[in-house]
Order: sequence, then structure tokens, then C-alpha cells
Amino acid sequence: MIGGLLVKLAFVACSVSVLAYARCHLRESSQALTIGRLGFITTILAVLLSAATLLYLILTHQFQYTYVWSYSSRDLPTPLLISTFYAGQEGSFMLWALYTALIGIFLLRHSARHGYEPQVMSVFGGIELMLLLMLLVKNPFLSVWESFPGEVGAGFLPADGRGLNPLLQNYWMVIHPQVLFSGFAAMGVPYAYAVAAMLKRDYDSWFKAATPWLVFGTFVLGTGIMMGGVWAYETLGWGGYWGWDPVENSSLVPWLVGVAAIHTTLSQRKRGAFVRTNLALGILCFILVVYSTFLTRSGVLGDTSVHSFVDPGMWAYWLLVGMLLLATSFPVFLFIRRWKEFPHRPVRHHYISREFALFLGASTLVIIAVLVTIGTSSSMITDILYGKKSAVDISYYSRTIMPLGFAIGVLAGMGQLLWWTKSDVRSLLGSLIAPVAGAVITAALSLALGVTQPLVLALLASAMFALVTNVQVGWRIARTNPRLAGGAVAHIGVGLLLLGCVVSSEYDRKQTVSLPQGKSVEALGFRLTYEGFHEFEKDRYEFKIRVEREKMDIVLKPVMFFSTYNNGVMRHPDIANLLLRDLYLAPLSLDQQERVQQPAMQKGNGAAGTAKEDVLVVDVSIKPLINLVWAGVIVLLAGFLITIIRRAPEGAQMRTESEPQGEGEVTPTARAAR
Amino acid sequence: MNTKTIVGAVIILVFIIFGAYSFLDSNVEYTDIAGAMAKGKKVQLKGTWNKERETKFNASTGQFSFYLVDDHGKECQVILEGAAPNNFELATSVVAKGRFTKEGYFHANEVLTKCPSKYEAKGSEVVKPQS
Repeated sequence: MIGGLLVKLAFVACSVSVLAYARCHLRESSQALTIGRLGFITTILAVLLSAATLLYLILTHQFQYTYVWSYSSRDLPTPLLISTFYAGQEGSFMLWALYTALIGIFLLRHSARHGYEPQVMSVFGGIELMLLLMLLVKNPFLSVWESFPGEVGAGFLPADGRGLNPLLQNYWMVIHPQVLFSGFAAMGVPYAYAVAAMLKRDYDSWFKAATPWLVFGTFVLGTGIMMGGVWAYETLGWGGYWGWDPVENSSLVPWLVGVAAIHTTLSQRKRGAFVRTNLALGILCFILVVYSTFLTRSGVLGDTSVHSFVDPGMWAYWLLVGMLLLATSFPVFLFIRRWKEFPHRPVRHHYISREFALFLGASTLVIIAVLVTIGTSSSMITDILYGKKSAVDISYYSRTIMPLGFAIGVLAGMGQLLWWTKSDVRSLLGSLIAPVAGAVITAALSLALGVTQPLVLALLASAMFALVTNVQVGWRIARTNPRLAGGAVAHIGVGLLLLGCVVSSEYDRKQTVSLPQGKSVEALGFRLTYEGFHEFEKDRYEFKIRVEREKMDIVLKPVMFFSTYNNGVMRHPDIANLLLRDLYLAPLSLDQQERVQQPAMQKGNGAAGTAKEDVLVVDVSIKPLINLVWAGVIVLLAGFLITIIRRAPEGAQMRTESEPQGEGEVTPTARAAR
Repeated sequence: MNTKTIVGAVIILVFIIFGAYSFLDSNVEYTDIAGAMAKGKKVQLKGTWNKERETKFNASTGQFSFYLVDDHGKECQVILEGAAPNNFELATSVVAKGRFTKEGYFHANEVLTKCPSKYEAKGSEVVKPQS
């Protein structure tokens, strides 16, 4: 019960802290400031201790706690046992609250140094307060007799827990949610700074303090999204890395808006423009995090997703609605009230200027975010429009986003070549030679290889344009000052990612083949031979398939087993990474003659069986250039990392108005031209 | 208001219209067998699996077929590209995404299963652990 008490303590302390900080904002008071600080530090400690308590209960198998009983069991290895901490809703809110508290430790000092402490900490504390309120409703410290009064006697200790869903029993489960939730928590910081800026009426320096956090948040969130993609691709066997599923989409949307904000704050930094846009985007990043939580936790999506959404109960539902309304209405109210005060600087710049490219780039990202949000919310929208729920087909996303991908490619290149204010046309044309040549060659080559769709050709060309431009620009910068190369590196990643996404999704080939044991079958240019299965772990079977082609001879082992947990067949693919393409084998079923249905799940050695002929059915697919997708994301994230290293010191000790030296007054191209 | 803002606004507007059009166009409606037959386009067909009738996976074509009964008791054959979805045997209801063919069966690209809330624990489970 101590964990529950700690959550209550954290809630009370956090409320006191928020109130004291709010008082401080209204009228300066050193006393209130001290109370605010102490309150927040108490909150941090209480949250840390309650999280530690939950972990302790899980590690020591205290199954009298409903949460521990629901998601863990004695047979789980320690890393997975730790991951059951956030296997359910209660625990994932706990994880979020924990990361918010941890970030709070740094933010407390950071905001104080910037003279923003009362405002930032009252907003950020408010976020933690909402999470703690959720933990009071969805309490992970309930005992089984409290959860099931009347059915379970007080003091009853179940012998074992229900166990972890086998879909989640994977090393990605250990790391992916942690990264994603720390990204969610980090996105709260730019939000807090943007709201604080409006409270303080300081519209021109807040974003300098917030930028390192914004870049950090998008970096971490991006890493988390990528991990989810790899998880889906290599173990869940969705056949691809991205399925436009609501859960994936809802973490992508805040990321897109965060990236847009990184671009528009750059403009304000240089030219003082986009004051309102930056405030709006800074706020929107986190509102979208809350909205995504609402979508995926409230049960509104119902059957329209492959993820199973549990109805969290009426209280939690309305609390989520309340969180969303509060997180939205307060900043929107401030935004409207301050509207007339916002400094309006009509910036004179040319069409061929970096500002305009940044504006278009950010707009494109926001439009993509809007389109994805509309698609993800489709079940709610159709419910309102037609009175019944329906979802959009996945083709909606590729259809709407592909033309925008073209724009992203072009802008990711152009933006790097243009100067602030107005570009010199002649030098611009000069630097365009190589990228345009690259784009044209790519398009011609693709055409020769049989690509005929104009949109795909355009996308490939624009991706190559972005790639060549940024390699060119990045190389020049890296020679003089590598710390400034973050943007170029990130955009190289964008180019690679675009190429990889287009080629791997437009040109993947799939074939369903039946493999009689011991007989070779040709599929998509490979010779496949099923050689039998064996039990590699208790009740889990892998199916050996020899894959041959010219000099290649490897064995892939996709997995199938019957899970008693969810009473269904679990299937995991196996993949051969062949540099330029992946060979993806997803098992479908094993037909054992005479013994129909639920094959392989019965004990017995198929390999030794003499008379019976087993037939393994697999989906074989070839995914060309999928390595470019991973490479692109990694390079993109590396670009973020370089930018964090560059901006962090600046955010830490905000110098009055002077920009740190070396920051490009001119574009890299211009610098090289000098 | 300068021209760049107008250009930007026009671009955004164009995409919003394009997005709204795509949304309405690719929206896949939930319907019953009669509705799916009348529509002729891609729909989500909701119903339950008829366990009495032939249910099989054809290994040579890689298709899974079963009979689906909708809310009005009407029945039709569903042929899915791929194997039976996870938890198919347990599903209380299934949703097939696809369209009716001239041959009279429902050709699905995807079948979603709705399962009895297996994640929702019951008190009885605590006292009497699962097998």
C-alpha cells in the first residue's frame, strides 16, 4: 500500500508546488518560490520512490497486487519482468510520470537560470499533476481483493501471475516504450516554455531556451518511432516497418510538428519572424502528444486498429478528455488574449530566400501532420458525420502523402542552398548543377529500370536532389566547423529515407508458396527448401528453411507457436539482409497430412516423421533497398544529435542578444564562395 | 498581407481540399452483406464466423476461406488473401475488408478479429489460476 501513499503524497506536493509557482508568477515572493521548489522536489522524490516500489513488487512477484498479477509471471526472464512495469495502462502512465519527474530535475535548474522558473515550473508541474491524477484513478497498487471485492478474499496471494502477452515478449519491449515515453515527457518542455513565454510576455527569447529541449524531444521521439518500426518489421511480422496504424501515427504526428517547429524557430532566431507560429507550434507538439494518448488510451478507436485497445473505464476516459481540454484551452486562451501584443514584424524577404523555403518546409510538415491526424481520427470523424464509425483505407495515407514527400525532397535541398533574405541567383544556379544532375540521372535510371509512374519518378528524383545537395553542403561545412553540420546531416538522412521508403514500398514483391518438406521450390529467384522444425524453447517452434541462390546458401528460421495466453498462433518472420534488399519469410501455417489444423503445435517430431508429408506455407517477399530506410533514419537522428550538441550550451547560458560566433550569417554555400 | 502569405494560404487550402477528397474517397464503410453487394466497392463487412461450414486454408493459392453470417442472418463465403488471422477461432465477431466479386464471394484483403476482452481480468481467474 506504500506505493499508493507515495502517489498521493506526490499529488499533494505537486498541487502545492503548482499553486506556489503560480502565486510567484502573479506577485514575486521568495517564500512562495521556496515552497514551489520544495514541493516539486518532494514530487520528484515521491514519484521516484513509488516507481521503485512498483518495480520491487514486480521483481519479487507480489501477485497480491492486481497489476503485478495481470502482466507478469514467475517464468519471465529479468529484462522482460522489468518491462512488465509498463505493460498495462497504469504502468505506462507511471512510466510517463517518472520520466516527467526525471526531466523536471534538470528543468528546475534550467528554467531558474533563464528567469523562467515560476512560469515554466507551474506549467510543467501541471503536466505532472495530470499524470498523477491519472495514477490515482488507474492505480497500479491495488490489491486483488480491492480490484475484485467479493470474489477474492482479503489477503489472498495468487501462486502465479497471468503472464505477459507473447506479442510483447521481445527485447524491443524492454527499450521501445521507455524511449517513446521519455520523448513524450521531453515534449512537455517546449510546451511549458511557450506557455510561460505568453505568461511573461517575452516573445523573443523563450525559444532559445526551449530549442535544445525541442530538438532533444524530437530526437528521442524519432528514435522511439524507429524502434517501433523495426519491431513491427522484424518480429511482429506485419510485413513492413510502417502500417499507418493509429498507435504509430499518433506518435508520428507530434514528431512532425516538432520538426516543423525546429525549422520555424530557426527563422525567428535569424530574422525575428514567425513569433506566433513558433508559439503555436511549441504548444501544439505537446497537445498532440496528449491527443495521441487520448486516441490510443480512451478506447475511441475501437476495432479500427490491430492494436487492442482496452476500455479504460469511465473515470479514466473523462480524465483523458479533461487532460486534453485543459492542455488545449489554457494556452489557446492565452494565445487569443495576447494576440494583439505579439510583435508583428513584416519581414521583407524574397521568394528565393531561406526564410521562404523554411516556411514552405514547415508548412508541408504541418500539412502531413494534419492529414495523418485526420486519417487516424477517421473513426471519430465518421461517427460525427454519418453517425457510424468507419476507418480510412491505408491507401489514403500513401495517396495524400506521396505528393508532399516530393515537396519535402525539393525543399530539403533548396533550403540548404538559399541565403537568408535573398539569394544570389547566379551562385544559386551554380550550386544547383550537381543536385539537378543527380536528380535527372536518378529519374533516367529508374525509367530505364522500368519505373513508369510519374509520381514515383518525381519522388525518387527529389530524394536524390536532397541527398546530393546536402552531401555537397554538408561536406563544405564539415571541413570548417563540423558542429554546424547537423542540418545538412539530417537532410542527407531525409534523402536516404525518402529513397528507401519509395523503393521498398512501391517495389516489394510478395508470393505465397507451399513448401513440401525436403523438396525445393523456386520463388522470386530463390530456391527454398523446408527442412523441418524443432522446438527451440518450450512449446515454441522454429521452421528451418534453406535459401539458395547462386553463391548464397543460408538457413532462415521463422517461428510459429500456439500461445495459450491469447489462444492463437503466434508467428514471427525471419529476414535475410542482403545489402540491397531483404528476403522476408513470414510463416503462415504448417499443413500436416492426416493431421489437419493446429499443426506443429502438437508435440511430435516432424522431421523424424516418415510417412507424413508436411507442407509449410510461407509468404516470401523481397524488399528492395530497405537498408536505406534504416540508414536514412539513423543519419537523420545523427543530425539531430549534432544539433543538440550545438544548441545545448547556448540554451544553458542564454547570452543576452549576441549570437554565438560562427553561426552562419551567410549560407554555407556563400561562405565557401568567399 | 503580402503575396507570400497568400501563396502559402492557397497551397495549404489546395491540400486541405485534396485531403478531404481523399478522405471521403478512401473511407471504408462498415456494412452488412446486402449493403456490400449493393455498394460494389470496398467495404468492411461485419459478422460472425459460421463454424458449421467449410473453413480451410488453401496452401496452393495462399487463401483462407470461411463463411460469414451478418447481423441479419444472411450468409456468404469470404476468401481472404493470406492465412487465418490470429485469434480467429476465438473471435466473437470478425470484420472483413474487401469487396464482392462477380463469382458471388466476398474477396477480403484483411480480416480483423474482435475477441472477448481477454485482457480484462476476472476475479475468478485470480483465485483459480488458468490451466
